Amino acid sequence: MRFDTNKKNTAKKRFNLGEFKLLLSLSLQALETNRLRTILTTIGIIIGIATIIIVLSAGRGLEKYIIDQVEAFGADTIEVEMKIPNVSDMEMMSAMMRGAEITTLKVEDFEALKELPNIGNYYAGILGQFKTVYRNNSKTAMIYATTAGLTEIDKQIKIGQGRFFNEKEEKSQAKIAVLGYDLKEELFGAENAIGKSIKINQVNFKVIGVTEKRGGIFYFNYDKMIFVPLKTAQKQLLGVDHVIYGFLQVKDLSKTSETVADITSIMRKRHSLPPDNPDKDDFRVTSMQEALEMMGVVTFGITLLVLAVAGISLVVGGVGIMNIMYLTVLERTREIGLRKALGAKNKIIERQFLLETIIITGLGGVAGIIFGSIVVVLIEWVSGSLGYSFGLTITLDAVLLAISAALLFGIAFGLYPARKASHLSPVEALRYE
Amino acid sequence: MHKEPLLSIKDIKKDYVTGEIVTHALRGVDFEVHEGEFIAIMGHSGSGKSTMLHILGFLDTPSSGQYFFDGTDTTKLTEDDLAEIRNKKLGFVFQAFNLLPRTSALDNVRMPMIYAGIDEKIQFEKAKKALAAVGLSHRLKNNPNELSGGEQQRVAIARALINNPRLILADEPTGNLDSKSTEEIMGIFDDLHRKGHTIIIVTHEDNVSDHAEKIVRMKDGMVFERKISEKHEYIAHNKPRD
Ligand SMILES: Nc1ncnc2c1ncn2[C@@H]1O[C@H](COP(=O)(O)OP(=O)(O)OP(=O)(O)O)[C@@H](O)[C@H]1O
Ligand SMILES: [Mg+2]
Repeated sequence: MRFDTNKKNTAKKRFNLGEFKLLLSLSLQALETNRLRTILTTIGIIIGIATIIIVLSAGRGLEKYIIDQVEAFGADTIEVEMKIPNVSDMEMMSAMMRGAEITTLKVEDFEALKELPNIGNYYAGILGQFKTVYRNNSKTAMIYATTAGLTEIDKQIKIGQGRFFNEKEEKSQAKIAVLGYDLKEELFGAENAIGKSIKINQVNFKVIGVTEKRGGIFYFNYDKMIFVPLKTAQKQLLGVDHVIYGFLQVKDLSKTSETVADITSIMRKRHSLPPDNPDKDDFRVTSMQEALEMMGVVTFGITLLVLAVAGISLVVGGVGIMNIMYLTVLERTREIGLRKALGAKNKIIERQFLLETIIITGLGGVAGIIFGSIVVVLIEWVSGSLGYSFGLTITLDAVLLAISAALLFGIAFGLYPARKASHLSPVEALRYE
Repeated sequence: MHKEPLLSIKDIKKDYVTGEIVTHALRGVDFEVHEGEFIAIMGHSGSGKSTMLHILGFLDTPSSGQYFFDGTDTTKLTEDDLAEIRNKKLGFVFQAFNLLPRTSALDNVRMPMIYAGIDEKIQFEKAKKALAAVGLSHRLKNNPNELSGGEQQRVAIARALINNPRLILADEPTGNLDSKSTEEIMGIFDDLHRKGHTIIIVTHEDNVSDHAEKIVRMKDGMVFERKISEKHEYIAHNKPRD
């Protein structure tokens, strides 16, 4: 009887169901007999993957949140606001806290700026705080005195019931008001507010509209405000004739910087300021486009930070898995030597380990994605019920990154050592230490 | 004996290189084994017995020399071919038993059949029979850590025999066992020999080598003595026949 070496190698098949069944039973048996190792490794992968999902969605959410906040003011607008000349932002803030006021910015300035060919509509406003009463309910509310253009430029202010005031009403000092959603609830409850009369600082106003719920942005909570025509508020409530800021709508965004320059020179002329000394300016011009570009830098920074954190969590998870794998390499190398001594071919051993790796990282990966997503949804749900929405989103690239990370772990810590071991001679593997 | 030998090695050398130091574990060994022989390899520690057995069993490759097994020049075979020989034509018994941990006796014995691609139902039938033959019918489901040394070695023997090999190789199979277990294990080897199996056993103990027909003595990586065991006939004749 001769040993026939040629018979076997001629029949090469792509996929062999019998062999797959064999590998599956070998892999499952190995995973089952080493249950503790299987569980620990899977947990390591679950934690690593879940962390990636959570960190990346948090980063994405934060990024989106910031951009949304800026865009809420309208990406196609230029802001003109009052400023104390010759001082830094910090000094100005503290000066204002102490009650300093700049009263040179007027709605007439905006009327004039509107004549620029690249400017469409505008709105300008000023804020105040007054006691507001409906029947027995009273509330100290933020009054947003504004021109009628507000709702046209800030598209996020939506009217739920009734309507917003128009230009004619604003100019004629009509004593009408639009309530923020929450404030309406607080003053009126379920009762219909439209057409009812409320008292703001003892002055009667008629409610003509209620906004839709919007949620707070930065320190502004529009839902708790009362919108009142600018002229009315200036004369009846505040006793002033200036505004603190206004937004101008840009028609052609590509000409924004020229328009900013035009606005600056018109404003200097109107306020009798020297034409070329920014230190003396009592106003500041900012285009939202510039602001968004600045935000782009900020969000890029956030993205980098998020990636760094995700990277660290990957390393931490990876080290955990590596430790478990490392502890078992000795035993597994001997096992490989023994299997080879009993007649296992290298490719069968490699495929068994590949399948084990796929099963562990597959299970761990899927469980990690589910676990991470549950945490993300929970955070959203809890923060949502507290009135904040971070807008955490699970994105496809996070999932893909997580899956590739899981596979990388599996290959680096499971497959690579097995491959190395299977190329030792059976004796070398059996003697390994 | 005019029949072709089951295996023959010619001028086999094995060098181990550890850094600068080269150990000549085998310095040119010639050796023949005929079908049905029961040979004991003896010699001092470090004389190259295990190295020789590993090469005979294709667990390790020689540095030089020729090895004919079952009529084939094995130096030209691929790794897969060698795996196939180990699987179908050889059975190993190690001093340290080398059972898969946390795996039942039955599954340990099945392992060579799994790699041989034998039908699962037949695997279980044959494995049960093989364990019964070594007196372990009542230990099928036990893991190695639940078995005594002698029992573990009997599982290993059942595993070595399961694919009906041409040659059984055992490296100090009784080295970790007490005298009673040693006698039991050697009784099994005697039976196998009587049934016509070819057996090579490495041992330090005279009461083990006494069971073999031939004794080969090694020294410094060379075979320096071959002789017929005097006690073999006596033991063989005084064993009760079954
Ligand atoms: N992997 C190795 N690397 C280096 N030297 C080795 C290696 N394996 C064996 N040797 C050396 O080869 C020689 C023969 O070793 P071998 O294991 O064959 O001896 P042995 O006769 O089986 O000894 P013992 O009776 O103690 O088991 C020894 O000198 C040993 O140190
Ligand atoms: Mg030895």
